[in-house]
Amino acid sequence: MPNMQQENALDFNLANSVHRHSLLDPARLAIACEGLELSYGELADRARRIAAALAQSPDWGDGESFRPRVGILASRSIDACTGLLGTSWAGGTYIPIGLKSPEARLIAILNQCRLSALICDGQGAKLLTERVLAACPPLVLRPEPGRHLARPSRRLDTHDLHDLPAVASTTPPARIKSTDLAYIIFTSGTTGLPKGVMVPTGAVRHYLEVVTNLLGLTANDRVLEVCELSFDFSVLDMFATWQAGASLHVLPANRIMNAVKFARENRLTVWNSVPSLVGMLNQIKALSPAVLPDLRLTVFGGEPLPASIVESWQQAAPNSAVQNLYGPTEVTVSCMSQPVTTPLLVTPQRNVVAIGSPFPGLEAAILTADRRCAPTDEPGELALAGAQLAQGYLDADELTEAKFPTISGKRWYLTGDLAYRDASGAFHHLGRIDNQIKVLGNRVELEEIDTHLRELSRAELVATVAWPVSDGGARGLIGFVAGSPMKTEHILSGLKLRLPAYSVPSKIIPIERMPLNHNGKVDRVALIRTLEVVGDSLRQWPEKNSTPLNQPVPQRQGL
Amino acid sequence: MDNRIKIKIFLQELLADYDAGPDFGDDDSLVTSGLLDSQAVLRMVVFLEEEYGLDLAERGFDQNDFDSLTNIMRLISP
Repeated sequence: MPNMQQENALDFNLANSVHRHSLLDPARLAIACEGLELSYGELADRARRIAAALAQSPDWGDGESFRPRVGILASRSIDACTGLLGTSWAGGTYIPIGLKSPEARLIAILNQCRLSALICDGQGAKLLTERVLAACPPLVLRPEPGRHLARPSRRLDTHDLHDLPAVASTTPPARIKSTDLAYIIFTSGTTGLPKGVMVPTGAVRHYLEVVTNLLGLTANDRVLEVCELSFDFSVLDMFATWQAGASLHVLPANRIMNAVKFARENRLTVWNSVPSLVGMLNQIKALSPAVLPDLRLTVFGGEPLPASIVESWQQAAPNSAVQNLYGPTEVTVSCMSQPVTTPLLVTPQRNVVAIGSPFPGLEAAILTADRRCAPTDEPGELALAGAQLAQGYLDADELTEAKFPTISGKRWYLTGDLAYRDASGAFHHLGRIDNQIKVLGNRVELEEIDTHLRELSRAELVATVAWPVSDGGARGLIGFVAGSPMKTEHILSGLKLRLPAYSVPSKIIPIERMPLNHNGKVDRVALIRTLEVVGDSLRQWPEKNSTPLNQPVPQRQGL
Repeated sequence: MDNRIKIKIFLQELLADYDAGPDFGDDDSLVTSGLLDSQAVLRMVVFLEEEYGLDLAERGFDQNDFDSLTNIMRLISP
């Protein structure tokens, strides 16, 4: 059997585990989605067919000088998974493209990525308008050709994803060098343009080894998948599951509110999600005591884990261990972990679970403004080094150099996160450095205000923004609460008791819906845009706390 | 007011907040179709609890129960 014992640095492929299980135990369930179930044998067969179709395309190249790139315009579907598996199988780099991208953004990504092929699922195929098609690579694989195609073009070679020619059932995945890219994931910078993070195969391999060890997944596990493909937590869901020979149970986005019912009915044993999902489920009363008795492990990541979420989760899933994972896409999904213990190790400033300690093979440091290690308990920028660092940003060498500097001979990634290390050695996350604002000479952390706002408003989704900003200076703070049962006067008077006056928003605005970005996180930029539109009426509202605040914003710390 | 009309008006107000028109059929999907999101469902839950004493703790949450006017009517008058 090929590629089994000798997965050395030169021939790792993300698809290896699916290949291995397809030979050893082909009938075992690998993935289930909307009533369709595929065994490892069937999943591997689909991926091999896609790989063969890709490799035969004239645009594929020799695979040596350049790793061909394949766009995956699909998410939370079997076709999304077979698409990226097939891409890896053939030795390519996969690039998820979010299904919520507006047409102009789709076209911009297609143009930027120089793709050899594009793979769509049913949802993705609907986005192939005439203008998008004009920007597509010459090979497009999608279900049922013709049905959704706006106007077939002669330039395009399109194939039915579900009707590709059969290939030998033992064809192994291509050998890929550890420095070759496994995937490129676009992250939405808070400051504007999305950045394509280029993650090499060696980094993913290290990540999967560590995380498989940490979580102890077995072939009997049944794992929840609720992440968009463009959010790199999906790498954990898919590949840690398949590495263990376990099964992945995909819940489509339009049924997310049924996550608890879905987990119950499918007797899932592992739950991976952002903590906000639990907040949402709690709000709609989907969580009742011991509603998830089969769950043995929960992995939270992607955003801070509030202690209150841990508490409601432990009641709903009393038999589940809980891990809090932290990590930017630039350091391959996650790179620090903190188990939920009794008593809980919390970050007192925010009442969230600590981010704990770095994975084996990685280093974490807190840097001062002059890039020295900060003393214990002193906040600074969290920096990471080691085996999981990305290669950098696509077509952005300057940005790569700035964010991945070499300090004392070692390459680091500067996270932009404010953190500190406590006396026990555990790391604590305080927020984005960008969200640090100076108000009347006092440092204000927007996330800290949010913590109090959340408690007082009893709303899960809250956000504080600096507004208005004029001449580069913040003139005030505005708090938003979504679906709060509390009166804004009550929230404001509570904030005044808890926070120094300069940290209290001049206004609390109740809104029906919190704008969220494509990863399900609160979109502060959208809130500020809303204020710019409705702003003039707000400016005139007399508020007690509206002393002009003339300090520059945002105040970056050092670096 | 007739419960069905009362709930229909409530749903129309919700839809308006999501920039959707007020015309929908009794069996049209409002949530799974993507017209409304979890925060709209939360408002439905609160409304149905207050107006009709809906107790989700007892029956368990199912998104489908909130997906159409017909399903909501079934939820409050089993």
